[in-house]
Amino acid sequence: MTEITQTMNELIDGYVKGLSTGKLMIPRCNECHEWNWYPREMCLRCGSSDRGLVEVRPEGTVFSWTRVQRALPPVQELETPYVILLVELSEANGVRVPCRAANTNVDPIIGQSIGLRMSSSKPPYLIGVDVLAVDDDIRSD
Amino acid sequence: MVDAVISGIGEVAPSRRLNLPASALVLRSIKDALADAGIEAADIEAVVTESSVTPVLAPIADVASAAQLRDLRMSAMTSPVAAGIFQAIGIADLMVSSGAAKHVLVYYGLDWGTKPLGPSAYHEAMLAKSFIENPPGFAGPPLYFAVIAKRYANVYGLSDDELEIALSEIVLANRFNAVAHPGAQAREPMDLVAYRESPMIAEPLRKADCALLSDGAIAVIVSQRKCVDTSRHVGVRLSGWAWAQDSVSDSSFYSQSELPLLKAASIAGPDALQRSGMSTNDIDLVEVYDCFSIATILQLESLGFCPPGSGPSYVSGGSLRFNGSHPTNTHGGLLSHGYVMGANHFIEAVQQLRGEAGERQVSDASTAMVGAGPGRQYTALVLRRDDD
Repeated sequence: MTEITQTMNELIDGYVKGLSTGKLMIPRCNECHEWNWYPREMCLRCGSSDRGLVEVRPEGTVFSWTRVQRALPPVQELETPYVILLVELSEANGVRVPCRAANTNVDPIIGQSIGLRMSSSKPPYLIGVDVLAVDDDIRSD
Repeated sequence: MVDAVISGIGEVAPSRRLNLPASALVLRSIKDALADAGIEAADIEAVVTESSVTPVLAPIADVASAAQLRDLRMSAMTSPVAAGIFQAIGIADLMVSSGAAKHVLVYYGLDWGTKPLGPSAYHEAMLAKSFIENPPGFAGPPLYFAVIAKRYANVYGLSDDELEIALSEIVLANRFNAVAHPGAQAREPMDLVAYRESPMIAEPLRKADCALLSDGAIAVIVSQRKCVDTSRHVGVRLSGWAWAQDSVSDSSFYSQSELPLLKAASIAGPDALQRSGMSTNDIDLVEVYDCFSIATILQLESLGFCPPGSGPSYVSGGSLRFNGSHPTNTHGGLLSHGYVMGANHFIEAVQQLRGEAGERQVSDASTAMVGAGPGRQYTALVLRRDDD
């Protein structure tokens, strides 16, 4: 009988726990090494259920974005406007993570490099920081 | 093969708030469809519907009992939501043409006008979304299509102004068509000034770029031709159809798929045409799942009506109006006719091909493509008037 080592729920849990400890952990198939994002019950490429979580550098390029002027359920409490980015990770080919931009006022540029850090909220999420925003953080420190 | 015909259609016109359960709306539309076909409830031998919203809002067992479908011998549910509704019509056609049933009913109804959290709740139920997408605020269908629109503009080199004009063309054509439809939900005329006054939801999508929220229902009957009085209407038949899916999961589609081409639509559209022995040039009107304005462009390109990246010029100059060069969503679509999850698009196509579309009639309409997904899965139906 096949032993299922990593269910979808465990992989999602591993991603969330990673963020809360400041690490970007992305699920990957232990058999064929395909990134398994979003997590599913079996590897999308080879069908294996033997997957693990791999730490990748929190950086990538902007795939697309939008500035949200009206927050919708289930996040209708969020203060607007805010900018959502889809970021393609540099170290996990093809994996795109949704994140919130640190800077709401600047239009992100698709294809631009962007750094990521983790929010301290519960549940945690990724924050996209461009070079300017990082400089601002340093100055404000 | 038995000759099948779309013998009856019924519709409860979409409305923001009917304060009636979806099942009640479904029953009304079934009654209308039976009358339209000139048959009795007891003549229905099979029922087919979609599998995600309907089992909760209007389950087959309840509907069959309330509508007094006494001689039901077969029932089936297809894939979820819009593509599932159209697939149900395709499967009804298979049941009839294989000789398994003389009359097959397809129905669909929803009350997401009275209960407007429907679309968000549908997406929120997916586990990955609640832990990966919602915490940063990537939530609600408008955001999914907003990032697709931005990506589209980047891939094809559109400026912000060019993107806005392309989207407005779709919204304004839909509204123009809805103004000419007595049953449409949004009939206030809209021009570019009014479009630009519509509040921004998620850039570049304004409220006017987003589907309405509606209560409404439809019913369709597919019959063996020899079992109905064909003198009642101009005959309309399903001449080909196809369903296809993308291998990505539903929850990850809007962030992980290879946009802006919709893979499932790019398979289903050409397949349905091929099975009909037709090409896009043979199609007189198109009704596609315009949950957001940008979705119309994505589908017209993916289905093959215009090359990738040429959507903005294809929709320019009011071409999508019922009297334009590419009549599309001639009832006003989800943006202006109502959000009956695309089921209303099928009714519109049949009315057009029968020549029963009144003021908004597309002249000499004899073929139509009706399509819905728009994402992970897609169904394309090709309809044809008998005398064509």
